[in-house]
Amino acid sequence: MSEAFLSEYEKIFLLHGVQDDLRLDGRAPNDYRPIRVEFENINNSYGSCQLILGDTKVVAAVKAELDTPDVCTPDMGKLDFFVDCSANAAPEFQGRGGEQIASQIVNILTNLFSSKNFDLTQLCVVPGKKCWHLYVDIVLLESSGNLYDACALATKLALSRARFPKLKIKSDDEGQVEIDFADDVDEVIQLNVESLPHSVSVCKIGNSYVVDSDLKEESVTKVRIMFGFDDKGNIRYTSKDGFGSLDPDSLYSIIDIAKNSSIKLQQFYTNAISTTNNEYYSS
Amino acid sequence: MNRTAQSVPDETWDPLVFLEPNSLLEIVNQRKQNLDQDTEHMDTDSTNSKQPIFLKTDCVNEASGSSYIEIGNAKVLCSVYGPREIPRRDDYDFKVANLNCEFRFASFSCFMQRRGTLSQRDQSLDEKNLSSAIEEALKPSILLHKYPKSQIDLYILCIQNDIDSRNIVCASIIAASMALANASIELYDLVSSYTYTPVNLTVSYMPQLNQVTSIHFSNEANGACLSTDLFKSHIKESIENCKKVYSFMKHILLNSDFYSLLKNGLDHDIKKVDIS
Repeated sequence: MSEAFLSEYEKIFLLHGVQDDLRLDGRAPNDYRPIRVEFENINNSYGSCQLILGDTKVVAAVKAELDTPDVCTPDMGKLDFFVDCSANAAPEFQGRGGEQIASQIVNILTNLFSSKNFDLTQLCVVPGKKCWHLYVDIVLLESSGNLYDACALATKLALSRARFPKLKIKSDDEGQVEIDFADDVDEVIQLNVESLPHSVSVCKIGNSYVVDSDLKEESVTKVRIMFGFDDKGNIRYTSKDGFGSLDPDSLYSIIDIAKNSSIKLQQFYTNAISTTNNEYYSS
Repeated sequence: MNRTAQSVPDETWDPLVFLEPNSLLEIVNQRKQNLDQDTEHMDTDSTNSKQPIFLKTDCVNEASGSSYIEIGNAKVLCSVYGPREIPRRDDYDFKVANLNCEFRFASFSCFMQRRGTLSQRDQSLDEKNLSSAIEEALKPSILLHKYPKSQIDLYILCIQNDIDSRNIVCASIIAASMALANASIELYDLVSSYTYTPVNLTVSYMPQLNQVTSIHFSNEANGACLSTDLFKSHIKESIENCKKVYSFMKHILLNSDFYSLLKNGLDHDIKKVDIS
């Protein structure tokens, strides 16, 4: 968790506010900040998305190349994540400073978009010989809390907008395959990403729970629980962040709060991908 | 011929990999089944939980505290060094002690060979993730403010990995908590941990304080997706099992600590003088 520099009294002010259901920016405990997405603004990628969540700005771009599949999974493609924490986002990301938070984000994304949740067989070109290897590159332009949810949503949106050229496969008598682009250049393949989970993180501040914490709230958070909810509201991933502990009853309330937020996120996602524009905005 | 100058491929594979894809899967499944049968066999004489636990403290004499644990097929050795002086002045913290947690897999511990000795290779990604998961689960239990300007090192070595690494996290957390207690480091409570293996849900829990210190669920191995109600009931069940594991830990600790105090009582006193 990156932190804002707050004095002890500012922290107490914030804490008391949250306990009375008053957050610094006037939101209710289970409100998300306004989300704005822009698609296809990275021309050199197969699909891209810029997500602005409050003051958090994230760009996710999907690149792809042909690769040979792993020996153990001959009918599956590959998916890799790279997260860059630019020093623009926070001064502490300078040099190798952002490495730890980047690897945390990569770890969560790898778990959320694992082969059990994302059908990697749709990336297979010739079983055992060729497959698509997707690289999802994420850059943090501005960091203002709740990076996990922002990165996961941006990745899902970028993957849903990704278009790959259709390939023509010719095999000769000796079993050699030749791969070429299809005759019609406009023919594209789209990925099925419906069942990919959303990330929802809930912070425990004092005795209250808030979703979509901003940087100041994160600096008084002792425990944050992250969930991966799929489109049917089932849990596919859970982990804890931060060096605090919580009692089981708060854990159960956090699960309920997270589920309600996941429904809102799912609603936002369906609206965002159904727009024909390259832009979608929710308040 | 100079063998060291010869280039070696970066990656090597189990020879079985070069069989037909389906036969490889069969062999892997066969191995897993064999391992499963072993566990089932051991299950019959277990009383505390579904998988038997073997736990022992004081296995590394040079360390301040140590423990060894076996759960199912997982075998983990853990030792604690410290609280000791921080070697680099930059890392000084005047309020709390630094907890340094390092988890490593032994080269032979997994299905796939890990190349090189531990000192030759850096921590791999899964080792780093496990290290931070263990640190996260233990930190709430330690009175770190009692040891300012010092560092506590926690070294965890996995000697044998379970199928899909499923009991490794909970075994490491239990072992580390026991080792910390064995090293006479002040704790709020022992951290007990349990992995509900069918869905790979790990919960760590401090029973005396009724606090959950960590929770982790990932469906990477089995593709489970749980409704919230089912998830809650699994957490409840895991917490119940944590309590059972806790009573077992307490029993082992009390019995062996008595013995170790008798044996090393003087050493413990000298160490305490060093810190202050």
